[in-house]
Amino acid sequence: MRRRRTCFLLTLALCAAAALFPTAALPAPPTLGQLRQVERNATAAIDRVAPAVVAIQTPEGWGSGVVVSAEGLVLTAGHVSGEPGRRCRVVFPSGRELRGRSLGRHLGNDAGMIELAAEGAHAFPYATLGPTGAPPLGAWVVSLGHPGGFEDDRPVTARLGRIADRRPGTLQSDCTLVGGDSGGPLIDLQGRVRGVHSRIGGRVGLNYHVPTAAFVRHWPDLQEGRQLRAGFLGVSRVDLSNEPVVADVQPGGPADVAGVLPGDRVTAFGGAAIDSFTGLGDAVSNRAAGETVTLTVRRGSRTLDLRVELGVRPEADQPNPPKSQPEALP
Amino acid sequence: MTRRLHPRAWRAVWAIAALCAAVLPGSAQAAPGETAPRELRPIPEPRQDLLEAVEPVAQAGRDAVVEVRNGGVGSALGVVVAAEGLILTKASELGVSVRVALADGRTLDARLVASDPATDLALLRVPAADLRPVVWANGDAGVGRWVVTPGPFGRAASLGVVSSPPRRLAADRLLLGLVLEIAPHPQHRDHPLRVLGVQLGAAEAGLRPGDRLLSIAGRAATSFDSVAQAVADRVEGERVEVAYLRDDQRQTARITLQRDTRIQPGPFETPAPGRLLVSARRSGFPSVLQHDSVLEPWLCGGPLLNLEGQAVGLNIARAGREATYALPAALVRQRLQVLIAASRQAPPQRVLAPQPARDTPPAPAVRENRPTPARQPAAHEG
Repeated sequence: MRRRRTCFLLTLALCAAAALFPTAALPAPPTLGQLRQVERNATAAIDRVAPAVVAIQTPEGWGSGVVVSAEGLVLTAGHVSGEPGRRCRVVFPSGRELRGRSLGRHLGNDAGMIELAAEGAHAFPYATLGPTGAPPLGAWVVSLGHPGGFEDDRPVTARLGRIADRRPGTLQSDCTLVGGDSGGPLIDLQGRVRGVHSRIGGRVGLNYHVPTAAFVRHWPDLQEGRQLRAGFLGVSRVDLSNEPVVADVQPGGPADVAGVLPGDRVTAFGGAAIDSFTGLGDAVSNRAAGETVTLTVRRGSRTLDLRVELGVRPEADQPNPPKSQPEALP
Repeated sequence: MTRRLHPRAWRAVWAIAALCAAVLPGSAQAAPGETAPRELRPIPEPRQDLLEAVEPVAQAGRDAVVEVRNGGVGSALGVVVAAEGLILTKASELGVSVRVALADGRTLDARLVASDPATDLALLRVPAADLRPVVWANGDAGVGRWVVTPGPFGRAASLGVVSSPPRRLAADRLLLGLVLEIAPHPQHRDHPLRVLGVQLGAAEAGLRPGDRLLSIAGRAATSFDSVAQAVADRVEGERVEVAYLRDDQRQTARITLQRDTRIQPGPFETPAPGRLLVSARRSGFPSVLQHDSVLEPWLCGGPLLNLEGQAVGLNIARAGREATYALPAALVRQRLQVLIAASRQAPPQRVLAPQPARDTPPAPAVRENRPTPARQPAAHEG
């Protein structure tokens, strides 16, 4: 071990992760000429974003982050920024060191924000945010960060890969991450931030990022320093099925209060189509407890729009709820 | 962080892999006059579909790539550096009986000419005069540039990009295995440090709790800092002379430095489950280029190519989930000249020697191969 330090990255359970890598869904393999074009774009994108990628030192260890405004707003992972109002040390690739203060975070999708503390006028190097829609499957992406923690003589390191899965609250890529990368940006070949590194699975190809959309959705809350907890619906699925059909409703739970009945088939959540029970779970935990969301269900021949005030999921105090456990109630 | 295997554990895994290869039915890559080489193990990761696109790059460099075998099984790759049979490879993966499988199907006995502990490079010579040496790239490969690791026989083994430019890589923290008492007051700092516990090398060397340290490698051991400095910049397996007091008698012992393999992960540093193999020697290099190619450790030792088929470096270690290290081309070429010069001064030996434990003072930068009578030369020939 070269330097054994505490670095941030969480590990997901292996079992469900294997099912989350749909290689078959990737587009046809590129040609050598296309790879050369990818290389040109990737190197330009890295050059553009790298100056805005910071190393973040907290009492627990090293993480990474990306500055997204000239005033010094930093996107990172919620498990790096920690409780709102916490102090940290932020190091730019230029060697410039500043103090930072954590703003809000989302315990469900692991989004986190930090603000830099700097006196007077300042103009930090910053990266631009990409579109909030997730990049398509197979889209080329670069992960930047400080794997293993900050090293004086090593600049921001780059890894290249492709989007392998996209779900509410999670992007998956084969850009290999390790501890210390957490909070660093996943960028597209135009040099735009599409996500922030969060956790890994048991295989090298299983790397998970918080999508930009997760930050955008709760931007004011995060910027105002709120700690958001994953939303909770209180429904259970039909055994051994991934159909978005409600088997049972937790008495007095959010779904019950909203009028959801056993047998209802969920077709949309917050206006976004739902086609599986796990998809519903992802969508629910990507929202925050206390939010009111429209749940669209088919009941017999009727379609109903029900307003649900999301509750707190029992395990929501964990920085990363076990999303991969199929038994978890959304 | 990734789980790191102890070298001995790694050997065990390797042996299992070798066994599997032996019972698999004949491989398409079998070279004439040799048992079937181990099938290139597919990297069970998603970049597989990109390898076909870079196959022409691997094909262009195929003549300069060799498979270095121990007992008939590949333990590393090597790179042809001169037509007259000179091959560079990763020294720490060499065994006692080395043969080299060339791209043209020939399998030849190799002799260790010289090795360089600092870079873990070994120079081999095979009886051939018509090899096609690798073409080195001029200048470093920039961050984000594609790099191809050609496997033996012209197959592309892995594809990645350069993650960070060349940098010095410090050696893993090495331990004497001494638990020392912290002097409670500054005025006690000149007193010999008392040993509270012994582990690892210190235990093997016979030190005991209650001993008082006098010096390490000739430097007075008066504080933690002085002890740490005495073992800084040394390599794993090096033996350090320690002087100590026991029952008011001055004694000496030699402690073998060992890597600390017992450190527990930090609170957010969960070791990744699943399979991850890394090279036993993966730290302490004067300069490494870091790239993100997913590579089995036994595919180190060969060239790392850019898309033009020129070697930007030599893969020297699989280091972790996200990192493979290559010695930059400029460094390899420079060390090659030193190794060739060393080989002219000392005639090559017929037998490859395992690296002996080094004594203090540190060994010279380039160590010539020395015969080791303990090994039986004849047994490994033919």
